[in-house]
This record gives sequence, structure tokens and C-alpha cells, in this order.
Amino acid sequence: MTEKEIVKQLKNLQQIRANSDWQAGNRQVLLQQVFNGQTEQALAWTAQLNLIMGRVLQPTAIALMIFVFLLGGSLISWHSGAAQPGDSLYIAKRLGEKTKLTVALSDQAKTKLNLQFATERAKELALVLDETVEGTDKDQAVASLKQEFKQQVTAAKARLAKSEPVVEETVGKETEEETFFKAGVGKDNQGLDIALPAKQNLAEATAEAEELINQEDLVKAAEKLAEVEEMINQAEPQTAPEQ
Amino acid sequence: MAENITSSLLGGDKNLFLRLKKYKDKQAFIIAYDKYVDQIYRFIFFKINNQAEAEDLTSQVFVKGWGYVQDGKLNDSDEYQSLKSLLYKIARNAVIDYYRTQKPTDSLDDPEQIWELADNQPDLLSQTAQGLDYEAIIMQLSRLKSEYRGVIVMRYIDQLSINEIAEVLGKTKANVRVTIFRALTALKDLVNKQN
Repeated sequence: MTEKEIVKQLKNLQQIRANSDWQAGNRQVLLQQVFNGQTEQALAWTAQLNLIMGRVLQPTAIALMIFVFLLGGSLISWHSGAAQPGDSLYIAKRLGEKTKLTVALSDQAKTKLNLQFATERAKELALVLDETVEGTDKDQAVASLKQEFKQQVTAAKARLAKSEPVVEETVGKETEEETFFKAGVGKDNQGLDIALPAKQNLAEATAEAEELINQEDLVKAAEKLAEVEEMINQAEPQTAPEQ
Repeated sequence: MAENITSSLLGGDKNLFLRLKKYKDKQAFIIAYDKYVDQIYRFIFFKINNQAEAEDLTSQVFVKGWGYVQDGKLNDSDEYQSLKSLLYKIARNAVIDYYRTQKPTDSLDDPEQIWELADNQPDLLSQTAQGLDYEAIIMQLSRLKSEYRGVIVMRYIDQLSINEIAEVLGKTKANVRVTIFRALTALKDLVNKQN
């Protein structure tokens, strides 16, 4: 192939575009970011009204229109925050998380977000594990959520390690509470007992991690999420023990 | 309809850049997103060969770009001469940061990623002979070193000018021309070796 032919083939690669669903979802998230909750359409309509009518339209009417669209934008933003894997707004939720992480100003803020997102993944994982549907999709969802959970926890730990010394006295110690929340290893019916208590403990430990994050105790939150990670590793769907 | 009126009023890259620089015009930024998202995505994808990560990084590029606009960085210096080169610079830095912070989990010549991308564009592979040529080009492009891949994508796929590429890379025009020549020669050698 000559250079000319290669250049011709390269130009044809302009046809390669981003996935249209992703592009539309990402655009929506960017709109939320840029317009702070206003929709682009509202802004365009407002701009056109101002052009056509000038100062004829009453300021209160304009304010009311903007308020209605702000509310719509806020609802989308609020709803997407509660979205779970498989929901239509889940992609918006995940994109929103990435946006928040990108615009966070300090390492402290980023660490907190990493821990919050890890907690979210743990909650989502608990929901997915709870589903009765088995199969490749569920396994893939579990694997994907686990990986993302670990990435968030790793990122948070890396930032914490940079900013604070390791609190040595807490490493290796196991409180009564921590023992209670561990999966029931050693019990007779390990196949069933590990699954159910682990899911319950997963929810409780995740809630504790969330509380610690809200209290800005990020070091302890990271430790709690390390326990959550342990539970997640033990809470994989297991086949029933052979009789 | 509102978007078309606005697009025609706002015009091309220079006008968009001016509006962002002077007025931090939000609609101009969204128009810029619609205009450049595919180019930026392609540039990043061909650098890192991972569709999901390329989507993430593309999102980050535009969020960061908006951050630059809001912070008034476009006015700070003559570093940014056009909107396109600003976005490509941010994209390039995003790829560099990506390589610094993460181990790529996919191999550079992972056929699954490349075919997944091509599957979204059936016209690209509509004829078998052309399909095979595209496959050869894409596969060998992924084997070039990152710097060469970048200039090939910018020059021949995204059609940036030498000036724009020089601004993105922070190099002289002469330097860019030499790099492009070497990159194209390297790609040709790889393609012909495979054939």
C-alpha cells in the first residue's frame, strides 16, 4: 500500500464516531453542569423571547418559566442519584459521579467522593446479589461492580496515604463489632450462611461507612470499606454444598 | 430549531472561541461539544484503545474545558489560540494522566475493542476488500508509538492543520512536519509488512 492509499484509508476513519447513546447521555450531563440545572431548551426559548419581545414580557413571567425548567432539571438530577443498575437514569448517575470527581478541587474532596462512590457501588452490589435472577448478566454485573468498588477504594486509599500517616494502632485490631459483622465462616451450612448474613452485614457496614463519610472521618471510612470489600469477596453467589 | 438558529448566529471555531473567551457563552460551549465530541473521542480512543475509558476521558475533557472557560484561563495568556487546539491539548493531557495513573488492562492490539468500534459504523465495512484495508490500518495504527498515533489521527483523520497540531503539541511547525512524515512512514511499513 502506498502512502497515498494509506492517507485515503485514514480519511475514511472519520466515519468512526462515539456511541450515540453515550453521546446523548453525556451531553445531558454536560448540560446540567454548564447550565446548573437549566435545560438548554429553556435557555434558548428564554433568549428568543427576549429577542422578540424585548422588555414587553414581565420579569416575573420569565422567572416563573426558568423556575419550572430548573425544577425539571433538579428532578432529573435527584432521580438519577437514586438510580440503580439497569434503570434508565443509571448512566446519568454514573456520568454525574465522574463529572463531580473531575471538578472536585481538593484531594480531600476527591477522597470523600471516591469513598461515597465506593459506598454506592457496595449498595448496588448488595441489590444485584439480592436478585433472584441468575445467569451471565448478573455475574457480569457483579464482577463489574466489584471492580469499580475496588478502584474507588484504591483511589481513596492512595490519596489518604499521600495526605495522612497510616494510623498504625488500628491495623490488625479486631473489635467485637467487626467480628460480629464478618461472614459466618466455620458454620456448618457455609453455602447458605455465608450468603445471607454477608448480605445483611454488607448493608449495615456500608451504612456505617456512609455515616463515617458524612462525619468527614475519611480514614475510618476507608477502613470500614476495606471490611465491606472483605464481605463482598465472601458474599459471591456460591453453589450449595454437596449433600 | 433554537439550536439551528443559534448555531448559524454563532458561526465557526473562531466565533465560538471568541464568545467563550469574552462572554463565557454557555450555548457556544454546547455547540462546541456537538461539533468536536466525535473528534476528541476518536483522538483519545486511538491513543488508548479502550472504548469505555475513551468515553470517560472525553467527558472529562469537556468538563475541564468548561472549567477553563469559567476560570477565565482563555484570557490569561496566548497559550490558547483556538477552541479546537484547547480541547485537543486537554485531551492529550488527559491521556498522559491516564497512562500515569492506570495500567491499561487491554492490550494495544485487542481486536475486540477495535471491532466493537467498527461495529457501530457498518458503512465502514460495507465492502469486504475495503473492510480488510480498514482492519489493517486500524490494527497497525494501534501498534504505532503514542506520539505517532496522535499526529496521524490529528492530521489525517481529524484534519487539523500543521499550525493547530504544533499548538497542541507545543512544538514548531517544522518539528511537526518531520514527526508526521516519520509517523506515516512507520505506519506504511507496518501495514505492508502485515500484507
